[in-house]
Amino acid sequence: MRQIHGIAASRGIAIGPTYRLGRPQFACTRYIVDNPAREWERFQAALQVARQQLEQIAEHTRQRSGDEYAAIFQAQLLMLDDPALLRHVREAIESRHLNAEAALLDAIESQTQLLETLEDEYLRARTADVRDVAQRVLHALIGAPECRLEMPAWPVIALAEDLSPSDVALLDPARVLGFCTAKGGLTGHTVILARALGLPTVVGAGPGVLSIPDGTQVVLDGSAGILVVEPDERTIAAYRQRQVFLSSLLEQAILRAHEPAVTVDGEVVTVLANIGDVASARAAIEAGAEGAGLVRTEFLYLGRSQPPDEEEQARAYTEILETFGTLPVILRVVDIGGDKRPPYLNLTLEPNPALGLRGIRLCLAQPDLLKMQLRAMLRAAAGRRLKVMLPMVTDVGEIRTVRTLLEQIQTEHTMSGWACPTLVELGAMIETPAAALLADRLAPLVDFLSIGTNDLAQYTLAADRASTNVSTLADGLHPAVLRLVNSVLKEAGAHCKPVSLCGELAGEPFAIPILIGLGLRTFSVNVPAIALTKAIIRSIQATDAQQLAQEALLMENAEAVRRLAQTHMPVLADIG
Amino acid sequence: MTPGGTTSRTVVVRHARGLDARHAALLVQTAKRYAARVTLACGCREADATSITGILALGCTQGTPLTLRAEGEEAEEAVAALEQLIAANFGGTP
Repeated sequence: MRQIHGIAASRGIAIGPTYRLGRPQFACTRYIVDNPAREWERFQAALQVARQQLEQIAEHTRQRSGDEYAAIFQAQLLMLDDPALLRHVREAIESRHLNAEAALLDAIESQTQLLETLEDEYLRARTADVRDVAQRVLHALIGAPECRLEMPAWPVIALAEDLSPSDVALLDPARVLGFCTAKGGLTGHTVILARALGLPTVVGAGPGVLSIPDGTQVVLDGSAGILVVEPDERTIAAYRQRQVFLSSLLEQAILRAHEPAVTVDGEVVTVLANIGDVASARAAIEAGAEGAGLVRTEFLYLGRSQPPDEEEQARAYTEILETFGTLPVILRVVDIGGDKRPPYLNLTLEPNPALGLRGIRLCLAQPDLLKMQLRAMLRAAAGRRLKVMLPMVTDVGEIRTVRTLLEQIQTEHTMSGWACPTLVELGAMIETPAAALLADRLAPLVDFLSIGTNDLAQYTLAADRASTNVSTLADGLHPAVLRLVNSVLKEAGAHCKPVSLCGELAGEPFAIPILIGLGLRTFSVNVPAIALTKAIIRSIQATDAQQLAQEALLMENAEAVRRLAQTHMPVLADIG
Repeated sequence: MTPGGTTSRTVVVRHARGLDARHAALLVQTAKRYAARVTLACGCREADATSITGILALGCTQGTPLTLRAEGEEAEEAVAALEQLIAANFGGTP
């Protein structure tokens, strides 16, 4: 048994025999043609063949994985018709009488050279798409059948030097359990497509994988980036167990999406949804949400030249509240400003948008905006319970001011004869270190708290989520963030105030047992994560989780917390 | 339709990935709808707005200013449409 280490590219475990994927090689000769006009026609015909193939691949991908992924091949179709490429090829054929194959290779070379010098690795990775397109046209030029990989009839773990995006788009998941490539990185479309197919994938594993004989038994651990060659019985058994656990977890997630999430030892956990408009409210109900822990109201305010009036807002909130019926719904006051600056607010670009006039700060600076929204919420919740939440709170004064404003509006509202909500509750979002550290002062002033871990991580770790250089540092599993979450949960408990957690962290598999262990009993997650979050909760023993959480608080960094959670529950690495 | 002329405007790309393949594809598809000859300039690089590889090779990342320049018929309309597309962040969230 030996291990080959590569880059973990797409999660999951695959166990099976290897098979080396190869492409029929052909030599491309360079020669002078007598009839350039006919050569150009030959090239055009090849383009047409390639175009038809790509259209089919785009359609196949759209049906299998969705529009977002089909767009990869829409872009390849445009590369095929790129005017710069065509000009280059035409010039080589017509003025230099070069054959179409050589003309194409030269043109592609000059195109990829431009991309390869780019600093940005994501843009640089698009070179693979240009080469993918070129291969397709070359195949068509020499009259070879479509450049498909040769596949065996039994399920295998595919090994290859590298796979192009269209290779992956055409893989049959019934016959390819996963793949491992010698080259390649995380930024290419190859990996994006593998993830969409749920194929365990390791890339950049080095040339060693190419000398493994076909039929060798291996375990491909796409979650850790390891290829285990000729594993012993114990290793196979452990991986097999993880595989079985994962498939039963995924199956249970779907079957029991609408059932409550109860831990192994009987702790009932509520799973709410984060939603952003009426359509996502409906999707949340279908996905098994037990309410909405966060309604982002920004959808009403962005992408327009005038703010939404009270009428329009009330209609939208009513629709959302009605969709959830008697289930709880938390409407968040609009969180704009910072990097979201609709033209009607006349906001200036600030040097640090994340630290600027946004959230409740902006609402208090432009009180008419806030008053109109609160009036619309009161109208929409007539005869129901209204839960209003304030974003970006840093000071108890902000809560007091809004509380006074809300009472005043409620009085006016009643006096004008409008029906009122049966109960109006005001909550604070805990998403700044200030609010987390002052939770004991904030809790008595509010009716509920909600921890927003995306911003809490950004501000605690001083890592701008909008910066491509440091955004990955804003990790909610960092023990510094977990300690703040822990203290907020304690203070909320001490003041008997309900508390939920609505950041990405709530739906992150590694975080779920830790959050349960810290005492969180209300999660609010994105709609696609609802069923799986419930399934993970059902496999947790809350008393064990408590011990895990205490250990997590003592870790040095987010990586150590992840490792700890994985040792506790190995299957967590394969989800997400 | 406006008669021939030259229009240019500078916008800032806000998307986290900068001008990636999907965005470049949308720009090309939009530019192709107009008769004007449109070019995009980013730093010292320039690209034909109908050339996807050219646009990718601009290396335009988040926060980079991008100059849209159009000449000929429908120059104004073409620039306005591309500006709108970039300002609306290609229909996504930042």
